[in-house]
Amino acid sequence: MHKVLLFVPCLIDQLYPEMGVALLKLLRHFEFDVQYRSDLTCCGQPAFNAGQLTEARAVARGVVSTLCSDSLADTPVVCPSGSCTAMMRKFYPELFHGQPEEKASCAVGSRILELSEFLTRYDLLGKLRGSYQKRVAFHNSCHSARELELRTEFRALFEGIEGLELIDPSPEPVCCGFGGLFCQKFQGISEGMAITRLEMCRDTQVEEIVSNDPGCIMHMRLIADQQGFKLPIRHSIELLVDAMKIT
Amino acid sequence: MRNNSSSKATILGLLRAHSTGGGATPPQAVAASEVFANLSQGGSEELFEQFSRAVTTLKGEVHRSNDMRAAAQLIAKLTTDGGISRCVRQRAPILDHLFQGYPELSTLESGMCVIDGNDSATEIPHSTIEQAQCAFTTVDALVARTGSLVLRSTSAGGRRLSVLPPVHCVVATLKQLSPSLTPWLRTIKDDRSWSCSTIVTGPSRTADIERIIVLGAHGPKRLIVIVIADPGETLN
Amino acid sequence: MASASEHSQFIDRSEVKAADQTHRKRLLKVIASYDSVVTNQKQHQFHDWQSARETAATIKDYVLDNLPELLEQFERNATANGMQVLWAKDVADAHTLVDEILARHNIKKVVKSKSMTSEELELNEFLEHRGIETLESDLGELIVQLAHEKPYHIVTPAMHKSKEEISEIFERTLGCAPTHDAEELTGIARDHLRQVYITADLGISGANFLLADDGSILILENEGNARLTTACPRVHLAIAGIEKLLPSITDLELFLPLLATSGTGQQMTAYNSIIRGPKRPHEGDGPEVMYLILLDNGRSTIYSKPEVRASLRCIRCGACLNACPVYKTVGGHTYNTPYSGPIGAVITPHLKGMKEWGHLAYASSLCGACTDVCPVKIPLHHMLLTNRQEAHAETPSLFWSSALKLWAGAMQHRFIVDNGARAARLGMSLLQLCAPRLAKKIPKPAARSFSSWWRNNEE
Repeated sequence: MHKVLLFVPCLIDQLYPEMGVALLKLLRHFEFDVQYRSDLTCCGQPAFNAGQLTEARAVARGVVSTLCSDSLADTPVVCPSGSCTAMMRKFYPELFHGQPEEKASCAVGSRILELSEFLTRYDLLGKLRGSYQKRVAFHNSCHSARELELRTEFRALFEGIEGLELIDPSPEPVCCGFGGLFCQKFQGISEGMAITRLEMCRDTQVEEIVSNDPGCIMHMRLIADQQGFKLPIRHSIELLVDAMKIT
Repeated sequence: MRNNSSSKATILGLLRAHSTGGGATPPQAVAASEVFANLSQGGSEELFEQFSRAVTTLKGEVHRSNDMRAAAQLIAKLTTDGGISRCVRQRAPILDHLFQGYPELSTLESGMCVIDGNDSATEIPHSTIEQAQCAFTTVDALVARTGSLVLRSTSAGGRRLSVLPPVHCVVATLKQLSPSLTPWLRTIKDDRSWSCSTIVTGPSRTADIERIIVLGAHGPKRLIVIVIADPGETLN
Repeated sequence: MASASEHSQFIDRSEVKAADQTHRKRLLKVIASYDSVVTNQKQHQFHDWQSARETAATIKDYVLDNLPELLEQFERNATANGMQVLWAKDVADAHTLVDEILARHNIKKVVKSKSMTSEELELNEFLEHRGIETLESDLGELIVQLAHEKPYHIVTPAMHKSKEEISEIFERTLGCAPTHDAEELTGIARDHLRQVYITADLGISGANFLLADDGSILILENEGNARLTTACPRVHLAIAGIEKLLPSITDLELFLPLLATSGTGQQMTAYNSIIRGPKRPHEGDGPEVMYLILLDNGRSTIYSKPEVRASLRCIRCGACLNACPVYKTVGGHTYNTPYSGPIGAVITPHLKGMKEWGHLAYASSLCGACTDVCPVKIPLHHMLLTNRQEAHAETPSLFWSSALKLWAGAMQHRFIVDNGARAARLGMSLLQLCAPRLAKKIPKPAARSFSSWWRNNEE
């Protein structure tokens, strides 16, 4: 049995634990020995994006230290969020440049796999079989698409799902307007961006939106609710577990 | 100017404090064949096809004339059809030969204002060019890839001639076709006599109003290119 | 970030524009049409757009690495061509130079072709204060000038105006009959400018590129107004940023199609003019005198900062504006800067002060669309991040600084996180009772965090 460490993004931890539980179920379905550490609270991105490197390091240091601890040193890490994965892979080396944790942070970054990367790495894409009779729009998060360069990989997640009509609402990724603290600092703009993205999805006549980032989901759900878009918005992991009838 | 050299010293000083290079070899000149998907490797017929397609797509007009006589007849027809009688042209061997050598163009030539871009003595009043219905010029080359014409102030009747009148009619030859811009750029670089060179690609246009394309914003609305296959011995 | 007045005005303007459905729909429509032609052109003209960008970035980096030497080479060659090269440290310096030119040549009337550097210098206002009649000749610039507005976009200044609005502006200022036909509106502008070209004493232009080995400037356009602005008046003044250099005239083979593709989706723009200087003694027309002002105005500051230096590669194509979802939501005027969109957000704080303009770096979701489209591969969204680091170091926002310090403290301890969440859930329930509308704006914390679920179910 392969060991895998589940990195639960802070938004999933506090707002959508059901997404974490869904991922746990999928991993166990594939007979992984799932590890979890409750001291992994957050990757530190909110502070990093605010330009507050000291605070970002304070939080990220804990992540690096836990992930480098003896019991977890070689365990791969799966993370159901493109933005957290990008933070740890691409920005930890920058964050810890010139710091004692520099080497460790680079090593940690290369172990973190976003969900679709994980499933690909462990050759599980072909085993994602199920049925879901709906027309669904996929909202690819900007971090997944541009920082992790996962522009089309999401398609492979759903190829084995019968009846699912997966729609890409735009040829290039389009931001939902979350941007972390941006949605608090510039509310009007953030809302406008979400409305534009939701309209784009709605205009493709889909019944549901699925995404790979809890931040996008949170933001789009809020705005969809406020603006009267009757579109359920879920995480890809939830759709997969549903379609595969994993309990 | 009063304070200019101290500003220059200040700016260069600030840059030098943070400059990393100096003495590095410049990157290699860009080879058009490596960059562009639509560079023609063919002979003059393929180049003409490509040039013609490109200009036509831009709403310019391309005509091919077998020889000088055919070109003269074509110009006579185009000007008659277009109600054009008041023209300006550049002084150049091929245009002189055309307009002075064929009776079809004698009427047009009699009302023609002739400009020499290289002769300041023949300074023409702006109003003459402004009120002309059509300007005739030669070009240095025809760039097939982009459907461009390239001209120099010294060899195209100056700066205003090809841009003021509503119709710009170019007389060129098949031999002037070039696959890309680079050969001409090298040529004009070595010629230190001109003050302004222009690459013309299609008629004047704007999309500033709701991105609707409108031709003839400030420059010519009509760009006509006459390509003569065989201009004869003396002009080849 | 400090709570500067530009910041709060930005927020006010952005709220208004973000809520304006008509504005948003118009902007999206215009940019969608741009997107489709650009995509086609990239495939049509380039073997490999990515490698063309890479080549362009390399050439521009060479320019930056050798900027002082190339500037001197350019000045030598341009001077030999008869161009009078002037250097301006900042706006005041440039104004002094312009004053001298105006006086020396007894300038009463100016015609301008599009120049973003002249916007940096607020040149139109400067000239108007001196009682000099100044008219923009580029159609988009003319429209915004007559409407007493600033340009809305680097490349398409009147992108936000409908045909109806333009007709109304022309009726009011030029006294012509109303028309909603784009061709007729263009004709009105053309006719109006005809006389201006020859009655103007001075033509002011920008320059898209400065060619070091030839000692010339390159002006790229579609309308022909720049050709006329630089051909007819007796004095020509061009203004260009010091970073606009290319090493060689032969680099135009790549850069002209590159700029045309990213700027407007064209293979080449209608006119590309290489100007070395005033008319030569043997030439029949052209200006008698030509000046070029090389403008620093903060570019050397950007040059000194390794994390943002590459922004000086910018060829001012406007692609990042068109890609930016923030720009597409609020439009160009919200920024209140000559350079808006991502490039504006990156460079403005370094040109005009981080304290006053740092907020622009935060007004972004860091989606990275800008970096994706930049033809010279400027890592724009990463530069917004480094701008934020600088803004926080220089002028931290008391509120966010403290909030994130508290947050960081809390996040290091699981029990604080979970108990804090408990308190938040309580707070939310109260909020739902007293202010349900506000409560709707905040996501509801789950009844139990994942960590506490794990503790109960798995341990």
